[in-house]
Amino acid sequence: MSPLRSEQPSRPGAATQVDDVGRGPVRGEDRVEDVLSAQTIASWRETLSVETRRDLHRIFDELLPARVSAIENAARSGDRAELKRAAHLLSGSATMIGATRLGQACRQFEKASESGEPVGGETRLARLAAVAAEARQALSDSLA
Amino acid sequence: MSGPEDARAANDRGPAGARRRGQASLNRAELLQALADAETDQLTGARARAAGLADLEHEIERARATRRLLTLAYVDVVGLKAVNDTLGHGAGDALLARTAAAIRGHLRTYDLIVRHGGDEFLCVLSGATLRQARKRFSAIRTDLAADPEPCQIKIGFAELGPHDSAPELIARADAQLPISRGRDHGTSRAPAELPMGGGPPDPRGPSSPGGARNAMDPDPVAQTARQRVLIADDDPVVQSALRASLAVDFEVVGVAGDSEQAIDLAAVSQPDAAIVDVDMPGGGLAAVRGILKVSPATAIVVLSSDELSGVVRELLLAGATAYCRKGVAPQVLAEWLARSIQARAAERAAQTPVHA
Repeated sequence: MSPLRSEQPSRPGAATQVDDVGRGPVRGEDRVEDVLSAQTIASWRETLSVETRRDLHRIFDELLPARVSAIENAARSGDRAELKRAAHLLSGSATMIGATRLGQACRQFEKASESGEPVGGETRLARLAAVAAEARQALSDSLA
Repeated sequence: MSGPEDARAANDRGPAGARRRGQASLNRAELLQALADAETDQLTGARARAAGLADLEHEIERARATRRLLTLAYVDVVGLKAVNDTLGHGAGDALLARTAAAIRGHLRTYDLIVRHGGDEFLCVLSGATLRQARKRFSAIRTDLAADPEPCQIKIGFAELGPHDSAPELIARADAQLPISRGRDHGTSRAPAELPMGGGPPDPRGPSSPGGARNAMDPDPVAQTARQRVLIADDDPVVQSALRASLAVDFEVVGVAGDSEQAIDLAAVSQPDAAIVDVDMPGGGLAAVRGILKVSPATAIVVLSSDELSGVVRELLLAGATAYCRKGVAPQVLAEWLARSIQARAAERAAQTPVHA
């Protein structure tokens, strides 16, 4: 039996789809993602009760500072394996909940850790912190 | 020592000094008592939240330093809100106190019990395996059920992982709380409360795999409503998101944080489908192989952050039925799960010899 494959890109707007804010097709990491995926947030709002959305947001919100710190610490110490793990973890959470720009920022750290290129200095880390804060606020407005 | 210092020392040794020292020790004792009071939940005797969470951090550090196990139990007291609403807060307080006493009665004196929320306790069992923790809480449940005023608790367990912070450990245990009966404080919905029932995802939505479904086509989600799904992913955010969204159409029979636990849960629950994170601790490949060994009829959907990668291909070759990317709309995932269950059943039927 041939494996089934979802035709739906998991990151709404990531492959061939026009996202809800009309920013057109997106491929790869060339463009800056929107802070949140309008489609994913709409899915949560459609599927989950207010209480459950708040609970989901709470879990993400509580874990976010430690996860950003883990990336920062690994990047500063040059621990590529830990950076890959930490960035992958937050990337997955962020993508799952709909924080697309944060997911993208984490994937950049993950790719850098794999490719051997410099993992990024304080500028990139500062951007990660800013994107995380931005996602936190936007999710609070949209889910909580 | 000379001059003023000599004079102060002499003075301290005299009656005035004794009075000052007595006063100081009295104040210190009062201070310590006040501190202890602030760090203890007066109703239940458990550690108050802030102090308890600090203690948990220490326990985690100690477990790492001594390479010992640590298991956290997240305890949710069932029905507290209903008791408060119908019988009054005095009865609710008594329920909480009884529960705490039962927990204390079965844990070791040095195990940490924390009042984490209104109806929630955290219990930290250092050096205990999941199995040992489960055994203790099974006894607690039995005691509470046999009480003249019986009560129930729900428990989620999580074993400390190599990278767990305290919030992550708590979130993993929280995510393990059974969903089937719902949660008192509304953090998850019981199936009976679900507005969507077993209804189909919107076929017009951009999230339908393979384009819009014909209205006359059988709806795989509706056909397989309340089929049983196991979630295998170590991320509490993903666990929580999947558990809540899939509970609309499926019965979530368990949430596993690593491949070993996934295989154990699959063996016990024989789920119709399992969602397996490709990068979970212990390895997605080990999870797929192990689940299919103990539960051959289970359809496995691989969850990945990336496009179709070599690792995902490996999992598909090992017997996984489908793969989806993280962030896929819940309705789409539900539909793909249902289709995967159908496909797996058809595959198994084709393999089964037909006897005339």
